[in-house]
Amino acid sequence: MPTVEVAAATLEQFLSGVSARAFRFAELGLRQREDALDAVQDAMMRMLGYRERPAAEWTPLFWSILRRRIVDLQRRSAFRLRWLHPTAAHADGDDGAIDWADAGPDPSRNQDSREAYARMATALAALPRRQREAFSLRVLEELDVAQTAQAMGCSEGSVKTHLSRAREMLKRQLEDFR
Amino acid sequence: MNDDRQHPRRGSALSDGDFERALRARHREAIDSLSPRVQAQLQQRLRALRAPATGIRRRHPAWGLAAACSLAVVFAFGIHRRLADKNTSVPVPTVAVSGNNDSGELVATLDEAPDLYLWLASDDANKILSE
Repeated sequence: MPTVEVAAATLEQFLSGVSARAFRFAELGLRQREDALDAVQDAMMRMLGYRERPAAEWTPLFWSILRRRIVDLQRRSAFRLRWLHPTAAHADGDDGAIDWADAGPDPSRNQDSREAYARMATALAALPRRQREAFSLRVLEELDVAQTAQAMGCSEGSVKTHLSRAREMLKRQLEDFR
Repeated sequence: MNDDRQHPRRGSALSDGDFERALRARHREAIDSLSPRVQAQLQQRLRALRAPATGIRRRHPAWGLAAACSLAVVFAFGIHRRLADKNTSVPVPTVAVSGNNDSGELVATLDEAPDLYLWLASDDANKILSE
């Protein structure tokens, strides 16, 4: 588990430490910057209601809340696209672009990193939702199996199954990834 | 807990552990490479989490002040109306008191002014009498 989350003494510190990770997680699921920001903010606001819970519970609780919020937004977005903008349902405009800082000490390396992450994000986005959640939480966010199961609202066995399938799919798509 | 990551599969160019490490490294770079705009928005939203509590504290006195002002206006209007009603419903009769203390004339005046009895029974008369 990332150190910053373990060391957080207050809920505010915890939320501050996890916000960037939460944004990337939401961005993978929603592919839309503003929706991702809204999902993170909603999850953080709901977390305030659990202030009295032990700090050890914050991590799975937060990811569980954020995951459910993302699912809500995905459904709402699908409905919006299907009924209000049917022609835009498969449009892949700027909204799907990965957020990335332009400036950096090494522009060439920055560009390589950006492209690599964009490839990775595309492969992750192509996974079934549960597989993507399992892989993101277990591998990228480094939650243990029990916490991942708690965050996903399923058994540990299901987590391992989703994770195994996700890994196989990703390895096939990102064969040359280093 | 990492058993499923440590052993490379036969025929795969990259072990599960190496593959996941590579992806994790890219993910970490992505977290460190958020645009200033998104970073600012995240900070702003984090600050907004603390705002509602202070916002409510700030809003309460405003509502209280408005309610107090409204009550004061209603109260003042009510008092004004009440005083006006009193002045019109119980007119103070003018009693002509002659300088020669003619009791017969005074009794006659009282007989002719029944409003005087009403006024005598009112609060205003009691105040004047107590003074």
